[in-house]
Amino acid sequence: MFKKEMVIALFLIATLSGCANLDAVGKFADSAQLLSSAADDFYNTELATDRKLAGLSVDLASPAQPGESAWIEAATGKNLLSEARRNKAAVASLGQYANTLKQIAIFDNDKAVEDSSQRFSRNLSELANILDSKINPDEVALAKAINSLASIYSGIKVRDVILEKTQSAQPHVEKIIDTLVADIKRQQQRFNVSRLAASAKRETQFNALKHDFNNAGLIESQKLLIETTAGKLVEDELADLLAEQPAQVFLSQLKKTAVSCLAAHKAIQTTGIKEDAKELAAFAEDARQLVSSVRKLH
Amino acid sequence: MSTTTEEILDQISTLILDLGSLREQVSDATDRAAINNQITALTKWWRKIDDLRASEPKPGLAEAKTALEGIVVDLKKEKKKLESVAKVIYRAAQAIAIAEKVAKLVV
Repeated sequence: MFKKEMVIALFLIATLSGCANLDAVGKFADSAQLLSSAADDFYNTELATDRKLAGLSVDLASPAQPGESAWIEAATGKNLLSEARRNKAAVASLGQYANTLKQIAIFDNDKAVEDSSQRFSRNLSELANILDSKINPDEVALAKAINSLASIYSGIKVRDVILEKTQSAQPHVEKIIDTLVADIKRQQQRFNVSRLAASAKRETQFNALKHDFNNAGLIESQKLLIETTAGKLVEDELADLLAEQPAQVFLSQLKKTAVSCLAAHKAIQTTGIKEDAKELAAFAEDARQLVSSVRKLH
Repeated sequence: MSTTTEEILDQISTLILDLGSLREQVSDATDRAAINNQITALTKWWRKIDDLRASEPKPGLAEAKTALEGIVVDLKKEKKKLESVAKVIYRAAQAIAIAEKVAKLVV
């Protein structure tokens, strides 16, 4: 009789800790979805800035490199395309991973869990295919991480294996998040240097306009046109200065959220972890703030 | 240890941003124009290298990285207390020459 009670008690403990784990996985998934959509939103918004700053960096006066078309030099964007492809794949794979974890956490029948895992695995393999392995070694590394994640989750039939699967997934999730953060960081570095170069160019243009305004013997309407152009340069300079700050806030919040995301992913691998664990609470808070900082860009 | 274009990009962007801070300490139009020219030229090479960047190490970049690090240290000193705009322009010109070499090396 005592033995039977012991077995029941152990079963209950195991079931309850399993439930606690699933709640924690669900909580992690919610925050990971926020991280993925905020990063996607931010990168896409900032692509417009990228184009604008690339346009401002055009310098027709600079001598072309021998044997190279000035147009090719000015309009080159190979790595920008590669970076955009990586970002799309990293953001989408993180989003789909979060979605699948959420479904595994809430589905209470094994068939639904199996279907969800298979769908996830298929989608990830398709995502890995959009990366061009011939062009860039960073794309190769990301494709490898996405494919590895896909194979970990393929063939799951019961949700009890979730702990084991999240453990195996850790290095690949790290690679995906590291790639996402590194590309956004580099994008922001490109903006910082380009903004400064644009500012230098505006100052040169402003001084040239001022010189002509005072010395070229212009009629009044020509002077007005010059003054309007100079005013536009000042307006653009201030707009650029103002645009820089929210992007910097987002980047710093993104770095923080990436760290707490990986810590939370590690935490959900612990048996019996609850949804109010400090790692999950920290990640949830960081992800909320990240979404709020991306809204300020619009 | 091998050096990557990513590390070179970090060094050059630090230099460009430091030149920006130094420019803010200068009000003379000629000096500002000279610093602006260096910022524009260095940014041009930064963008060129960015387009060819990869996180894989590339042979021949270690020397460029060391030289750039030296210039970064020098400009940081000037940033704290600007003594010579001519020195800033000269060090920036050296960085531009290094960046040009790197861009040609990684094509």
